[in-house]
Amino acid sequence: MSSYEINKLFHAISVNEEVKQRYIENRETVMNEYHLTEQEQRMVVENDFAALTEYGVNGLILMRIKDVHQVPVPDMLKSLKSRES
Amino acid sequence: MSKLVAALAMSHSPLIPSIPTAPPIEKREKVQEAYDQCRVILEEKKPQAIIIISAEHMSTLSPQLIPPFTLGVAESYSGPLDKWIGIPQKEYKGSQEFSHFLLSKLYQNHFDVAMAGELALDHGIIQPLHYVEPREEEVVVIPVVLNGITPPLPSMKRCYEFGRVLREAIEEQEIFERVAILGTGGLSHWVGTKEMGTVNEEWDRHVLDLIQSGRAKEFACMNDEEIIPAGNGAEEVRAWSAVVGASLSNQGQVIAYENVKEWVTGLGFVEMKVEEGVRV
Repeated sequence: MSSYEINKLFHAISVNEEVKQRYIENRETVMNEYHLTEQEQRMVVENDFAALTEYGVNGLILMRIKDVHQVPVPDMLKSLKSRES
Repeated sequence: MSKLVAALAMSHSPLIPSIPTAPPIEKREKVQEAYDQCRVILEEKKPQAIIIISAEHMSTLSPQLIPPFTLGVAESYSGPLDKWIGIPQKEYKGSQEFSHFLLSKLYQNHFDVAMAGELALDHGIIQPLHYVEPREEEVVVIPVVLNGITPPLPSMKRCYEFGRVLREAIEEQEIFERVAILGTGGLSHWVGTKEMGTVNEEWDRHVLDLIQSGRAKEFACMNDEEIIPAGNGAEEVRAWSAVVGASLSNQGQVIAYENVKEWVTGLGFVEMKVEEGVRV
């Protein structure tokens, strides 16, 4: 398991409008097409940015997820800081 | 005889054109003045071609293939790929002949650089280019994209050496008499991390002090650990290392620095002194 498939999916979403629209309409189908595991899908769907970071997802890709999921920056930062000791 | 007429390093941000009025007016005016000053330098030096180097942002390239260095060999380039930044789409003229010459020289000097027949340019190149390109003359653009975001990254020293080879190539060719080199990215910033919105002004000023005080190579060959305190976005200063290398100089003039939290970055602007060419 690696962050590669998540990076690949959200890169595609950012450069391919057709993928982006299909993702917005049916996230699960598109995530399955990109072979995201159940755990990976959970992190993405729940906007669990701290877990995604630990998993190795690129910071630029996290910004794409934030944009597509329309997560406000303060909420993203709250998630990112949620695992601080 | 062909020569390098200008070597400039500067920051970029997609937020400068997309939320131009977010920072206090005095800060945004200083940033605009810095870009204007860079543009005036280019207008005075009159390059026929500009080699512009920026880090990849996971848009021009893709996770499927991320070479350490990629050089465009197209007849033209369009951008910005990230349309949301608000800069109008524009086509920039390239030069296959010059690009192929640069690649040949890089290959001869042990840089196996990827050759891109197409490159859709994002804000890393388009934003600063839009602000500094000479207004009266059309300039040929040769884009170089380096991996500054997906580890493992090419070392700063390697980027510095890359710039030195570019310099030798510039002086050996007879396609363009006058060439400029621009490196864009940095300074300190964090993208998609919990520190996002922070600027490490101390680190930024340390880098600029090294350049201004005649220790540019010390900056340009920093090791990876020295960049970490400035954030994942600071990894982009590899483009600056290439400019320092191409300048063959240890000395640069700081044009401006602004810590602009609203644009989520420390913005630096430098003109390297261009020393007479020597063989690498």
